[in-house]
Amino acid sequence: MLLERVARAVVLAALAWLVILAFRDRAAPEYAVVRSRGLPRALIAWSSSGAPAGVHLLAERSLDPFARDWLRALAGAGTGVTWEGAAAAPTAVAAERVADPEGGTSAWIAAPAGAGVIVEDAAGRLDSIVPGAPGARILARSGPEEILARTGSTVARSLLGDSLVLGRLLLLGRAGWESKFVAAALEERGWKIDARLRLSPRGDVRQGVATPIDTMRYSAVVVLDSIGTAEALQLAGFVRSGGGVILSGPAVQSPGLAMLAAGSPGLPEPAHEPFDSGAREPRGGLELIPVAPRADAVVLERRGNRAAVAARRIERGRAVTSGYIDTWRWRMGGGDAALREHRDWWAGLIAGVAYTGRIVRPPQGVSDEAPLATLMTRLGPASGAPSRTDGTPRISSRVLFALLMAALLLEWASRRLRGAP
Amino acid sequence: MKPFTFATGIYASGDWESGQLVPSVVIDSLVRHTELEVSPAGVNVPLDSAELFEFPFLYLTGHLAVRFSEAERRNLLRFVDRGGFLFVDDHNHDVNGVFHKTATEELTRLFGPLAEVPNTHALYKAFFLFKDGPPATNHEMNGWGDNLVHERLLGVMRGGRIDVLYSNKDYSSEWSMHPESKRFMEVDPSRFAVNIVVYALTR
Amino acid sequence: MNPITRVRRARAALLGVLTVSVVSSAALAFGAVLLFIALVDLVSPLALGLRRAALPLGAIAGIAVGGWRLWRGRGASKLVQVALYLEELLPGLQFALVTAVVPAGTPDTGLLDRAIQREMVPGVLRPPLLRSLARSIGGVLALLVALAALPGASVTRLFGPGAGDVLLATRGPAADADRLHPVVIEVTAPAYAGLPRAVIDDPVSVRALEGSAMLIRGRGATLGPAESIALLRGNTSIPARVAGDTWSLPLTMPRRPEVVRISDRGKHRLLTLEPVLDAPPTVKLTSPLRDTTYAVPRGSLLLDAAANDDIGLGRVWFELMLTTGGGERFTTTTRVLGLASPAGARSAGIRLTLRLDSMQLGPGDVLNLRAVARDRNDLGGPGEGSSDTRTIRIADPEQKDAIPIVPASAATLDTTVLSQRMLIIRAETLLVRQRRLPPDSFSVQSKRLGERQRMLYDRVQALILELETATDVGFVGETEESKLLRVAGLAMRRAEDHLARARVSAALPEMYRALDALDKGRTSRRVYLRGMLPRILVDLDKVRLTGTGAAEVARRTPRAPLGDARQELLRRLDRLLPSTGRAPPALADSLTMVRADALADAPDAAPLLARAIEAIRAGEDPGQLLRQARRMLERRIETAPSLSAWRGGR
Repeated sequence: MLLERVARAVVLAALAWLVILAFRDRAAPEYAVVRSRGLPRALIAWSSSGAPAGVHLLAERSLDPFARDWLRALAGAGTGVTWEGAAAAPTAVAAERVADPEGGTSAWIAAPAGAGVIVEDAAGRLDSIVPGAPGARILARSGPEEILARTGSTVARSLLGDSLVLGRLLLLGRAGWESKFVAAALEERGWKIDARLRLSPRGDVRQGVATPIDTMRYSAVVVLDSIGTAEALQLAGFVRSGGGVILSGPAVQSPGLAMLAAGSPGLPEPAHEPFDSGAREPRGGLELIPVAPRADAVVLERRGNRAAVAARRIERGRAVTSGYIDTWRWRMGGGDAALREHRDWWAGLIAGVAYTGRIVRPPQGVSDEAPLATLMTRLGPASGAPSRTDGTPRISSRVLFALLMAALLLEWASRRLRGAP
Repeated sequence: MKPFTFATGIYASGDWESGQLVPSVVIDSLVRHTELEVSPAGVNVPLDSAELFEFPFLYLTGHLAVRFSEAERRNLLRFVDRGGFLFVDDHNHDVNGVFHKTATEELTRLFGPLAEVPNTHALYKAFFLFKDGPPATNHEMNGWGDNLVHERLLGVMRGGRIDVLYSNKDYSSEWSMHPESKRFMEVDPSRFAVNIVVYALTR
Repeated sequence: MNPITRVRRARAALLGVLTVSVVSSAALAFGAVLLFIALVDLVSPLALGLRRAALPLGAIAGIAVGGWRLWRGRGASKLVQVALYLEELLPGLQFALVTAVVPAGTPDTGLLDRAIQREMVPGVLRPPLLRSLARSIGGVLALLVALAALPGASVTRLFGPGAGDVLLATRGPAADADRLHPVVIEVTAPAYAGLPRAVIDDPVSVRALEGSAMLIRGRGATLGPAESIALLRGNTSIPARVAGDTWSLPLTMPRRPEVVRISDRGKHRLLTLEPVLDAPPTVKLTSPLRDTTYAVPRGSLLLDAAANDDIGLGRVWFELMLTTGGGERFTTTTRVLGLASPAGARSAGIRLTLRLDSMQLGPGDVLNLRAVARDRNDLGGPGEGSSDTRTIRIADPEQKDAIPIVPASAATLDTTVLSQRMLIIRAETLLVRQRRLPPDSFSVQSKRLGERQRMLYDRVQALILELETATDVGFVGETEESKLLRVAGLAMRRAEDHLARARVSAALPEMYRALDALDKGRTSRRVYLRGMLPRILVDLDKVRLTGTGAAEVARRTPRAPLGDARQELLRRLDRLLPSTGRAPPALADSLTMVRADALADAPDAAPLLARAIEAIRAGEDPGQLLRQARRMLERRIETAPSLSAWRGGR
C-alpha cells in the first residue's frame, strides 16, 4: 500500500511538472541552433513564422554579408544571437588602384601565417600564395576591379570604387643620361612631364610651363640632382601639402634636400662595368649610395644589409629616397626585359608617392574585406550555446514522461500482486 | 655619376678609326659652352661588345665599306631600341662612295629607310640656333668628294625623335683638328656638335 | 550420252550461272552501299572524309556479298551435288543418276542407263537457270537505273570527292538559302613560290603566303540580288562576280593578319586572313672563317658559303669589294663571283678559290668579301640575305706602327696541326709496340719520328718569321699568334730531342704541349690595330664655359606613351568576358577580330582564342579557354609574401 501511494505521488508530481514545462516553453521557446549553410533558409522561414528567442550559429565558413547583416538586425530586434566557429579563418584583403597611367590594382592580404591563400579576380585565379607574418601583397597590372582572397572556405572580397585623377610629374636635375632616360621611361609609361634640366648659363632644357610646384598641377616631383634653395623650399611645401617627391642619385647627397630625405647618405658602392645583363638582381650592377634610414622611414629595397631605397611620410605627403646612381645603365645594358623593368620600377616609385585626385564612384557589388572581423563586430565575439536564465531546474520532458509511466506501472503491478482491482 | 663620354664605334669591316681627332674637338666644344659633366677623352668601343651599352652616344665614321657582322647588328638594334643615339658621318663626303652606299644599306636593313631630317627640326635648336639647317663644311664648299652641298641630314626617326643621325657632309673632316686650333677661327666650326650631343642627351 | 557426261554438262551450266550470280551480287552490294551513301548525302551533306570512304566501303560490301554467294553455291562444282540437284528436279530418276555418278558395288549399268534415259528431259535445267539469271541481271539493271536517277552533283560528290565540292551539296529551301554558307576558297600562291593551288572547304580562316591570290566562291547567286553579296575590307566594299548560280570574290593575302567580312542581305560571315611572310634567305660563309691581314698578297683563298631559304633560292653569289687608295681618296670596285642559280632549291652552296696573286693587290688595299643570296620573291622582293663580311687587308709597310699578322699560308698552319696529331698517334703506337720490337728497331723508328718532328719545327719557325716581319721593314713585333707558335716550337724541340734518344714516353708530353699551342693559335682572335691612335685630353677646368655665342635652347617636346598592344588586346578581351552569356555567333565574331590582331601582337595567345571560337561554334562553354588566353595576355602578377608599411605601387 505504501508503495502504491509513493508511486501515485510520483505520477502526480511528474504530471504537474510537465504542465509547468508546457506553459513555460510556450511563453519562452528554445534557442535555434543553425549552421552556416542552413542559415539562408532559416532566415527566410523565421521572417514568415517568427524568429526564435535566440539563435546560435555554428559558423563553419564565412557568412554571406547579407545573412550576417540580417542576423545583426535580428539581434537588434531582441533575438539573442550567439555564434561559434573554429573553422572560419581570419582572412582580410584590401585592394586599391595604383597611381599609374597604365593602371593596375594592388592588394594587401592578411591570413594566418603559413595558410595557403588563393587570390582571384572576376576572371579567375591570379596566384596562390603562402603569406608570411603578417600577410602578403599582390600587384596585378591588368587592373582588376575586384580581388578575392580564399583561405579554406573563407572568402574575403575587396571591390574597387573611386577612379584616380593623375596630375603631372616634374623632373628636376641636370641634363644628362639619367634625366633623359628617367623622362623617357615615365613618358613611355604615360605620365605627362614638366622638366627643368640645367645645361648652361645660356639656357636650360625645359618642358612644360613654369608654374609653382603645387598639388594643383603635380602628383610628384623627381629630383635627380641638387637644386636651388628657393626651389627646395617650394618642394618642401609641396610635399607637406600632400605631394610626392623622389630623391634619386646625387640628390640624395644634397644638403639642401636633407629635410625631405628618408635617410642620410652613406659611402658609395661602386658600379660593376659593364652592366651584367644576366645578373639575378637587376640593379645589382648599379653604383649605390646606401641610405641610412631615419627612425620614421620604411625601407623599400635593400642591397645586402644596406638600405638602397627608403620612404617616409612628411605630414600629408610622401617622400622616397633612392640611392641608385645612373639607373639608365640598367635600361641600356640589362637583360631582355630591362626596358620594361626599368619603366616598371620607376613607375612603381612614383605610384608610391603620387598625389592623386579622385572621382567618386560606388563599387559594383558589396565588399567583404574582413569577413571574420566583420562578423565579430556585428555579432560580438564567438561564444558557446547560451544556458537558460529563469532558475527553473532543467529536466527533460522525456525523462519526466518516463518517470510517470514507470510510476504508473509500479502502482498497477503492486495492485495486481496483492489481488486488488 | 657617369659623365658624358664620346664613344667611337669599332666595326670590323672598314677604317673605323679615321676620325681620331673628332672626339677631342667635340668634347672641347661641349665644355666651352655647357655645364655638362664630360669625360676629358673619348673611348673606342667594339660594336659587338657588352661595353657598347655603357655609352649611349655612339659615333661611326670611315671611308671604306661598312658591313656589320651579325653580332654587330644585334647590338646596334638593341642599342637604338633601348634609347641609344647613333651618329654616322661619311668621311668620304661622296654619295657614290663605298662608305655611303654600304653604311646606308646596313642602316636601312636594321632600322628601315633613312628619311630627310627637316631643317626646322628641334635638332637645329637644341642649343645653338641653325635656322638654315645643318651647317655646311669646308669639304663641301671646296668641292671634295661628290662636289655637292648636302642640304639635309638623314635619319631614322620615331615619332619625330631622331634615333640615328646620318650625315653626308663630312663633319669628321671638318672637326679633325686639334682643339687648340679653334682659337684661330672666327667661328667655331664644331658648334653643331654641341647641338647633336645636347639633343641626344635630352630628347 | 552416258550419265556422267550429262551430269558434267549440267555442272558446267550451273557453274556459269553461279559466276554470273556472284558477280551480280557483288555489283549489287557495291552499288547499294553507294546508293545509300548518295541518298544520305542528298538529305544531309556528308563530310569529305566519309564520302571518300564510300568507294572502299562499297568494294568491301561487294567482295563480302560475292564471297558469300560463291560459298553458298560451292556445291555446283561437285558432280554428286549436281546429280542430287537433278534428282530433285526429276524425282522419277529415283537416285539412278546418283548411283551412276557414284559407283558403289557393281551396279547394272544397262538398267541405270535405261532409267536415266527414260526420265531425263532435255532442258530440265533451263527454267531454274534462266530465273536465276533474270534475278541477277534484273537486280543490276535496277541498281543502274537508280544510280542514273541521282543528280549529277551527287554522283560527282560520290565518285570524285574532293575539296571544293561542298558547293555541290544539297541546299535547303530557296526561301531560307544562306548564300554565305558554304563557301570554298581557292588559294593560288604567287608564281615564284611554285606551290600547287589549294582549295579549302568552308574555312573560318585562311593561312597562305603573303601575296597569294584567293578566290572565295559560293552558290545561290540566282536566289537573290547578286549585288547584295559583297566583301567588306576596311572601308572598301567589293561586289561579287556572278557566273550562273555561283558567285565569287577575289582578294589577295595581305602582309598583316586581317579579318574581312562577307555580307549578304543583312547576314555576314567573317574570314580571318593569316599571312605567311616570305623570309629572306640566310647565308653562312664557312670559308674564310675570319678577317685576315696579309703581309704579301699571294696564295689562294678558298671561299665557301651555304644559303637557305624558306620558299626557294633564286641566285647566290660572292660579292667582292676592292678598295684602293688612301688619305681622303679611295676607289672601290665591286665584283660578283661564283654566281649560281639554284632554280628554287631551298638550300644551295657555292665555292670558289680566289688567287690573290692574280688580283693585282697592293699595299693598303682592302678586300671585303661576303656571300649574298636572293630568293625568287617577285612581289615585294626579292628578299636578300647576306653572310658576315670578311675583310682581307694587305699590310702597308708605310704604316710603321701597324702590326701585320697572319701570313698568306693559313692553310699551311692547319696542315701542321694535323701532322702534329699524326706524329702523336705514331709515337703512341710505337710506345705500345715497344715490348714486341727489338731495341734497335725501336730506336730507329723513334729517331725517324724525331726527324719528322724537326721538319714540323722548321715549318713553324718559318711561319713565325712571316708573322713577325714585313717586307723591307724587318721585325715589326710579336703577335698573339706568333707567341703561341713559339711555345709550340719550343715544345717540338724538346720532343725531338727525346725522340732522338729513343725516349718516346718522355717525348709525348712535349708533343701534346705543342699540339695544344697550335690549337690555340688557330682559334685566337686576330685583332688588327692599324696604327697608334693619338689620345688628346681636354683640360676641362681651363676650357669650361669659355665659349662665346648666344644659345637658344629650344623646349623639349615630350615622348609619346608607348602603346602596349598586349594590354590593349587584354582590355578588349575583358570587355567580352562578361558577355559569354550572350548570343554565341556575335561573341565568336568579336573574338575573331581580337584573334586576328593577336596573330601579330600576341601570337602565343592566338591559338587559345582560336580554340575558344571553335568551342563557341560547337555550342560549348569557352570560359576556361578565354580565361587562359587572358592570363597569357596579362603581364606577370607580382607577389611578395610580406606586408609592407608603405602603400603604393611597390
